[in-house]
Amino acid sequence: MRFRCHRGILSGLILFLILAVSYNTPYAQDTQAKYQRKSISYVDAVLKLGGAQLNADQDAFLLNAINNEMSMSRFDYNPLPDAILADFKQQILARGVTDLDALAQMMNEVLAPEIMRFVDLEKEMRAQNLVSEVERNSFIVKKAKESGITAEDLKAIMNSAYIYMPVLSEAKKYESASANTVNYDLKGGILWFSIKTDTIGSSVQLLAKKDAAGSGFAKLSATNIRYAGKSLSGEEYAFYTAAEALAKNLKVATQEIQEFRLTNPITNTGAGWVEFGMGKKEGLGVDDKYIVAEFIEKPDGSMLQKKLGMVRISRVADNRDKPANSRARVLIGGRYERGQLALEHPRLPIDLSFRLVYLPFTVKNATYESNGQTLNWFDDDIKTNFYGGQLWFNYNLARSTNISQFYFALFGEAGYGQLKGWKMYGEDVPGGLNWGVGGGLVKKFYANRFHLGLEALGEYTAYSFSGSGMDNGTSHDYSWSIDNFIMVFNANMEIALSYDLNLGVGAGYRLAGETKSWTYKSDGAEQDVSNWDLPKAQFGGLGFQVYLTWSLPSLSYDPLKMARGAMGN
Amino acid sequence: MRSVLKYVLVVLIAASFLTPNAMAQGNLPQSRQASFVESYSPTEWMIQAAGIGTGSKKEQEVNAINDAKKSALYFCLYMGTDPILTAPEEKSRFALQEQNFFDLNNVNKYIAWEAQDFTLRAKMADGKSLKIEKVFRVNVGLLKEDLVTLGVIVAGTDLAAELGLPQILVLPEVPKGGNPLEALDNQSELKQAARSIESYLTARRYEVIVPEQQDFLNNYGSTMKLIKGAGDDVSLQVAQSIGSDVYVTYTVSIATGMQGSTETRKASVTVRAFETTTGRLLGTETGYSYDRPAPPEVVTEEAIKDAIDKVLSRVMAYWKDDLQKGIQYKVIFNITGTFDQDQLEDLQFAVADAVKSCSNRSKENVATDQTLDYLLWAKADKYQQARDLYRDIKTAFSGKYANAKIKQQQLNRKLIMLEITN
Repeated sequence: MRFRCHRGILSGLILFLILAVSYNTPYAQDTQAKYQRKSISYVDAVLKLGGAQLNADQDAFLLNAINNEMSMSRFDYNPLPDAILADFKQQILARGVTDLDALAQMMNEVLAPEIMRFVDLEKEMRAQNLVSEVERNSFIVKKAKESGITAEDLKAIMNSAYIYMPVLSEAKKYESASANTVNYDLKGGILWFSIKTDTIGSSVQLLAKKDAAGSGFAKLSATNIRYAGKSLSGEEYAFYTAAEALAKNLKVATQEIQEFRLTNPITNTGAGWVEFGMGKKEGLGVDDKYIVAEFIEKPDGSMLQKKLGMVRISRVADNRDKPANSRARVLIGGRYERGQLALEHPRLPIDLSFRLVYLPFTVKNATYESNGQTLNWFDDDIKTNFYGGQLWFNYNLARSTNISQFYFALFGEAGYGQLKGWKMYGEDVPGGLNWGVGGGLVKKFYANRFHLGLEALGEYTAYSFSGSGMDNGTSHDYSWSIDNFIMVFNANMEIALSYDLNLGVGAGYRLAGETKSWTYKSDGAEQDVSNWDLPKAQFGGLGFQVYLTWSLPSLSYDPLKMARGAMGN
Repeated sequence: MRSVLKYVLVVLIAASFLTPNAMAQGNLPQSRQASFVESYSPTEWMIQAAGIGTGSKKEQEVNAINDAKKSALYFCLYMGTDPILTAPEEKSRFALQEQNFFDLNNVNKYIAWEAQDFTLRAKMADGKSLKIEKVFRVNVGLLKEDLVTLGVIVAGTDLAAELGLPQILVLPEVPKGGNPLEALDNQSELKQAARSIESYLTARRYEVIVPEQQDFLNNYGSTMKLIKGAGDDVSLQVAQSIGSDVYVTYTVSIATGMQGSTETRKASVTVRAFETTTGRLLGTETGYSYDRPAPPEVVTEEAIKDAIDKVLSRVMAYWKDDLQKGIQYKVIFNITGTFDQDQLEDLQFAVADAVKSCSNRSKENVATDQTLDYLLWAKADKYQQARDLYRDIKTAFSGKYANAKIKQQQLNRKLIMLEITN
């Protein structure tokens, strides 16, 4: 693939991205909106559309994966008795429901009464969360020792019940005996229904339909991949990981639904940080991103929402028993003020990064004996560089380690370089391919838009070149290749161009031992070079990189799990 | 020299244009947007007020909150249905001290509590100013005391010294012909409403009459036999029999609803205040509670709180006004003696002269061969009690008409019922 980088286009793109950070949205909502907890129920069945078929085990795993991802702390749960669910599933099968209106109608008939019965029992307790500060300080609460709950609060709770149902529209398996691979592509989504109640009764309405995809990959012949507490075949592993990828994408898609999006006004601000009144109760996690917005009152009295920038959670407060503020560091923008709104910006905990790299490679001169003569391989040491690209997947470990901006990185690289000075059959050897895969730990330190990223990585890297030459009128093909395990220590500077895109530059030292593990092939046949006095090669030295990193809203596969599937164990 | 004078002239002219605007605003709030939330206690009001802040980004919020505090105070003084400053002379007296009064240090004295959260926050004028809205609890009791000290308003305690705070009778409003006392006994929410009103009034040091005492009931029965012309208004009759200055009637209506399986209640009450002597309506207000899953007593009290404070401020406005005329009495002469037409006319003239001589002002309501009904305003310093007035009327009458005698039939704070016999 060729990249043509035009300065004008690039600067225009950057300008657009920066401007995109602070765009205005017309809004007609509460300027101090706070997330109000919703209660959810689910149907433990996957609705198959378009002929998608799964076996019982797959069906159960997919359902479990989706339910796990939907078990978000921001929700209260309204359990449905097994008998009611069984009845509902039976009716789906009996009626063959495939259109959404009919499904909503069935939910209203079978599920809604049971859900509303449970919500009714819980409503006073849940409504406590809706009592405002002013209401808590009202006469009726202070004097009459009342809870401060109003009928409006109860009504809000009664109308905050939702049901979701997973949908599968496509499940395709691809097997290749020759390549010994199997992969699963799943396409599906989630249907969210809201239950509205009034004096007449309840009605179930479709709230949102979110689509997502998931893919999994494994070695077809694999028989014992330990995963999810089981020993899986390659096919099973491919399906399981596809189901999990689909479920993770559905989680982000659900978080993006307006009704479920965490929102709260900023309560405190300081140098480079803000605080707002959410925490473990809502399921906040370190490194979660929040857009900061405020409202502009126009001369006609209408309100316009303006997005100002972004913050990232650095400390999650435990607000389960009493109110507490979580802290977020400013990522984009600054000088935020109390009362501005923090709006959730849900993203997968995986960043995708593409890097252009400039890597060192040295081949040291050596001598060899030929016909009793000691000859030099080259005139001098060959110092060259590889020009390549790297694809990185950074898994954010912040939620599990509580360390902000701490990643496990997985990357692969491919590049090009020529060993100028190495001659075969009297000709300069052509340029060759450098490739590698690696992984390691990354920690980023940031000050506003700027990040300092430190990376400690291990990498398996290789270089090979091949060519042909004429010897005594006969053409010969040849190839040389060499590989090594190396350590890489990078230091990068990044700037956040937008909410989801960072631009970075960096330098790294590649710590590598010298190696002579060359493989030489002549006319397709590997030659034994163990007795050869080969030149030493070294992948070490100073390298440089420039890159873009995206925070992903969805990714249809998990690279780490795919890599494991490819290994087959 | 001429150029210097020119310069001074230009500055003075410019200043003459600029100064009024600058002075007009001064310490006064910029926003002046506020609304009444609830009467938290007899001395504290919850006010939701908006404030506009300008200046640097850091200063905007502080300035906006300060402006909102001023707006809350401004609302209590000038705005709403029942502001503290009602009379034009009060406003003009306050205008002289307005700038000092709205100094932030002074304003803060009256803010008893403020919410941490904003109810609204928006930037205005391209971000050059910030508008916020939040809820404050304003200590109107202290505010009124300070206004009295400053001589802006007349103190309730001064009134009490001169005239006494009005004695107020609280009764439920009943349908025509109904008995409020029976209604009080039979309906718990009416009793609760009466308690709430009484609690509110006694907290403000009003003299409140509880129409449950036995002596009152005895008195009521005997008085009613004598009073004519009160029609079917039992509350008025009760008030007159007991001699309250003002009587307050109320109705309570509780609407119930269901949220799921929970019954919710919303109370609406109407509170009306009347002048006892005439039955004139002084003020009426409807109060509402929130719709709550709460007992009827709780929502009733909440609704009463919503209404009573406004009615009371109108009663006080009336009371202040009436103070200028004197103490009001209803005097009824029942002519039971036998008089011919000429004697009757002379007798009526003598009564009119006697009433006139003992009052600042009087009004003849009814004049028949059997009854003379007067409303009179007597000097507060001269007549400490009704008996003193009765004595003077009797003396004045006997000096003007020798062929008849006046006897006391019934005497209370507001009602003097006399019999004229041969």
